[in-house]
Amino acid sequence: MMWYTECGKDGDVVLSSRVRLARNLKGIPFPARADEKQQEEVLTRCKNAVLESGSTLADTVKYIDLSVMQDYEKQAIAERHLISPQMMDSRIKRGLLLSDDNRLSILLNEEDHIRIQAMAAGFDLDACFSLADRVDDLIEESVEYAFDEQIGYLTCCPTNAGTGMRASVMVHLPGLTISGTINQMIDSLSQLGVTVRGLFGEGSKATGYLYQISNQLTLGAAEEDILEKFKQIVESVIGKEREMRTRLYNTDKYKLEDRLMRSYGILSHAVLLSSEEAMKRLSDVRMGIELGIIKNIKLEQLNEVTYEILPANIMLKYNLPDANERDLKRAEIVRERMCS
Amino acid sequence: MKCQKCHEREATSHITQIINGKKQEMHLCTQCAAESPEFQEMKAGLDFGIGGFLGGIFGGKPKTLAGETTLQNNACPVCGMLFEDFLNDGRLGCGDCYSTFRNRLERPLRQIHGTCEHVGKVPSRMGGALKRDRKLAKLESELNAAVLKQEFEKAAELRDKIKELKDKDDKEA
Repeated sequence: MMWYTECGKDGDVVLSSRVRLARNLKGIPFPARADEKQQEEVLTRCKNAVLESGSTLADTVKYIDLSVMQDYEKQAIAERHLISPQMMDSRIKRGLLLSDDNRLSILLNEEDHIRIQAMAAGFDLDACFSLADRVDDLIEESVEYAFDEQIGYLTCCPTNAGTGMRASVMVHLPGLTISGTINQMIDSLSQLGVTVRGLFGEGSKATGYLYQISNQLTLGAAEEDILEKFKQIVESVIGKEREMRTRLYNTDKYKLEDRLMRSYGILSHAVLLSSEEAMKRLSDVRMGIELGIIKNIKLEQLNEVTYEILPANIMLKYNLPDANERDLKRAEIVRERMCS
Repeated sequence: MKCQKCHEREATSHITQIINGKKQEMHLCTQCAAESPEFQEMKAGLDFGIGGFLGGIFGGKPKTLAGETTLQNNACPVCGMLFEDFLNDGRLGCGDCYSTFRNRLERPLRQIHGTCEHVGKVPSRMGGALKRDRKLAKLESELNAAVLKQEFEKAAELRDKIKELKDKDDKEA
């Protein structure tokens, strides 16, 4: 099972955790300003730094050349959050080092030469950091990083300079969203250097109540301290979300139950499902499972189907370029999962 | 209403065009609208990415420093970037840009992060000295915190660690 389908610690609120380190090679322009030869050089040097390191990690990592992939294939990887949407742009030569369990993905020539991403199910930023940190040491054994004694690791965008570290969690916040408290929370967190954004929607209007929370400041504090502060903030978000769910449930139990069960009914019987509707309904079912109202489906099953039905993933698996045909297929997959 | 292009997402952008007296309507979702030529044209020259806003912070009146006759002469020797390019898109061209434009980057870095002193990880090949200094500073701040919290056992442990580290330095020197 991949990390994105597992249900980890605090899995009723936190779907997954990620730590990303941005690094660049010394003396070579950042990808957007590098010429083709320099871009190639970055790919080769980074690829070799990992694959020929002789470490145990090397055996579990594969190199993927993104320039030979179709757009929908790249999109499918992006939907699973293994690459950023920016990696889709084929004007720059890009590559990806991906571990077999998908917990580690190293993006080459994104905005920076190297972006080490470590991911885990549930709320487990420590595991992510320790993996990313280890990989960082490994790469550094054979390449020299752009580093400044005062400023730290040098990155293409100065908002990443210093540690180059961005920690993030993907969270399900139906309680805070339905109760309308989310916007106030987003404002407060931004003052603490933490950003909240909708995951499958635009701005703060998140489809399926899924959000990504991440730290903004990367300079002036040690990695461990940034992580510690961020973890405390996420913990308080988890607490507030749980409290809000309980309050919603206690205020109007039958209304909430009705809403969640209706979504469950639709997912179990619908013939056509757009990805947007599926996301919304799955979120309701997720909340139903989390509140113990829906008992015969596990969160792991739900996580699996959530990724399985994203447009490019359906396209990749069933070769359906037509959106209407995908809606039909999507409903079929969801029906099967809901009834099994 | 569904988007006319992807047929998947809700249409949120509605465009009415009148070309040669013929009215034409388009209903697109935000994503498809962003890619449509009509909208591309509309937002041309306006940068809504991070650069569009960083320019505001970083811009101000560029200070001309001693020995720096014109800004044009101040291109980064490694990647050829000018500070003006950076003001346009908020991105630097290479690691060396940080030293080329150090004087002008310091203030904005402080505005973003509140500081421009990195205290985190140091690449191991940066040599032991810098690493040791950082470690020492970290231990000392932990020691102060422990003393403030009156955790004297922990403080004693930290004091020993600091001493050990300093002794090792002296021996090597």
